[in-house]
Amino acid sequence: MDVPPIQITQAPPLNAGAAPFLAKAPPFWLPMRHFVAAAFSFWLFAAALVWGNSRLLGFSFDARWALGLTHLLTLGWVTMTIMGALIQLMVVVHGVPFAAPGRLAWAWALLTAGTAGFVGGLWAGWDRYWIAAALVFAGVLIYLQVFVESLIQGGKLDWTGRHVAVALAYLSLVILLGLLLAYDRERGILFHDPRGVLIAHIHLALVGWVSLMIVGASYRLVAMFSLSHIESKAPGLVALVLANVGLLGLALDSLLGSRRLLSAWACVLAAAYAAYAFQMNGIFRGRLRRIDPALAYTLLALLGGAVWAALGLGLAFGLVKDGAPQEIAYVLAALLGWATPFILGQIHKIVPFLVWLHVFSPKNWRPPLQIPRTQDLASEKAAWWEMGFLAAAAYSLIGGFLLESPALIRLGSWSLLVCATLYAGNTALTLSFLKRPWTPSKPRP
Amino acid sequence: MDPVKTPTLTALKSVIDPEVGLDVVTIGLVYAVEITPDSITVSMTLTTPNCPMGPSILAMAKGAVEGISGERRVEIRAVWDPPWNPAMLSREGRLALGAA
Repeated sequence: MDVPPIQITQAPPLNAGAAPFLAKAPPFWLPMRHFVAAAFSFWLFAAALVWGNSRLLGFSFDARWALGLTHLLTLGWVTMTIMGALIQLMVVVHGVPFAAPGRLAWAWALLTAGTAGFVGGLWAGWDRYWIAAALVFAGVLIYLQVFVESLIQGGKLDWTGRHVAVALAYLSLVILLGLLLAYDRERGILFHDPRGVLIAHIHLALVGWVSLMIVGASYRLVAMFSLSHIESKAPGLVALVLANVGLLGLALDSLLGSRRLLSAWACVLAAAYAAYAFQMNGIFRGRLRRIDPALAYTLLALLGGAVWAALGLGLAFGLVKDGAPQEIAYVLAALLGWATPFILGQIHKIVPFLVWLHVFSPKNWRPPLQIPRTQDLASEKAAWWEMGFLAAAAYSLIGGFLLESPALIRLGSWSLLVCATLYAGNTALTLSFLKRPWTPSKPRP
Repeated sequence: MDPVKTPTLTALKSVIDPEVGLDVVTIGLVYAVEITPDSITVSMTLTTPNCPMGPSILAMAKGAVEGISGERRVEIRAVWDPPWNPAMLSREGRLALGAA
């Protein structure tokens, strides 16, 4: 074949606005408003913990102050972040445009207003805080409707999609029970055993909604970000089956009022976690990338999940003192030991990615002009410090409540506030690239 | 040395996967480069299907190859079979990622 030689010349610019994925991606501020609201909730939670930490040991798990704190973390931080991430993740998983992004903006407004009213109502002593809970309920219903529509539109569910679908089903039970509990606390006419309903509500939320969502996302995202792959899904399948059996057993046992088999369900749930950890071990062993803050956060989350499972077994078998502080330690192990590190790890990838996608991908690069990598849009050093403070916070708080030590709780509260402040600062740094140009700090090799 | 293929691969090496931080050739995303007097066709994949950065990476690859293609038409084909797997990463890439 006669092929004339060619010369390397400057590449022509791409067509203006050439960023094909943006055609089906949700608008930038749709997921981002969730992340900003969540970062604020996380910071407010940490600040409230610092402000009130001297009183925490004196309150029962049912106290309004503690209930407000818990829901600021579960609704304002964890659920808010998951909703934002899910908006982005579903497009990636299914590759189809999102159904009805306009409705999701309404869902966000209801969730935000409902959470603010619910937590504020609990803290301010407003008796009708269940009205704010109804706003949360309405907002979540809209999310559920749009997510289910998108799942159906996407066709056959992959492994992550199945976890998402199951988690969404549990979320609907969580908010239903939560709304009924909020109403019943003031009227006392619905449940003869509110504590059993509370145990079911907490576990449906922490295991069914939060954990199954994390597990499903981790199979996809951790494998993708670590450049690993999954050889066999058998351990994950075992984990999914055991988690559902254990959770449904525990919830029914608690709702029906007997709570005689809690130790058995705790064993099943711990076994589910062990199977999941085995699956994740395979992903980490096959990884090709060094441990960056996002992967280190995931490892911290895996440790936190193991501590949470161990505490669950300890409480179920009477090896851990059965008191309100110890129950709070158990819930904190789930929220700060397990869920928060995983969330922070993924958000450190997702937020720079969103800025890259919406700000830099439409630009007309002319190779070899450098474009930023996603890691250039945030501070890795700040992320490492943030993770160190989160680890200190989570284990000081868990230990502080287990041992009923005010000094440890104080240390944990301040560490968490530093972590949340660093996280807010790093998020602001990434968002600053919406306005300011990026310039390479040094030439790449 | 192929007078066209080598510059094509050199051009593609200027296309960085923004998440991985390496170029698409080093990652092993470029499966084939076909050259005729009228066209240059690059068959390449992405590390994961439906990667949100994927269309941008493909567009960047097209722009890069158009920079050296002269009068030739440039086509970038997204290929999903065989799917990319970590074994396709070059030794240079493994070293850069700290996995070798």
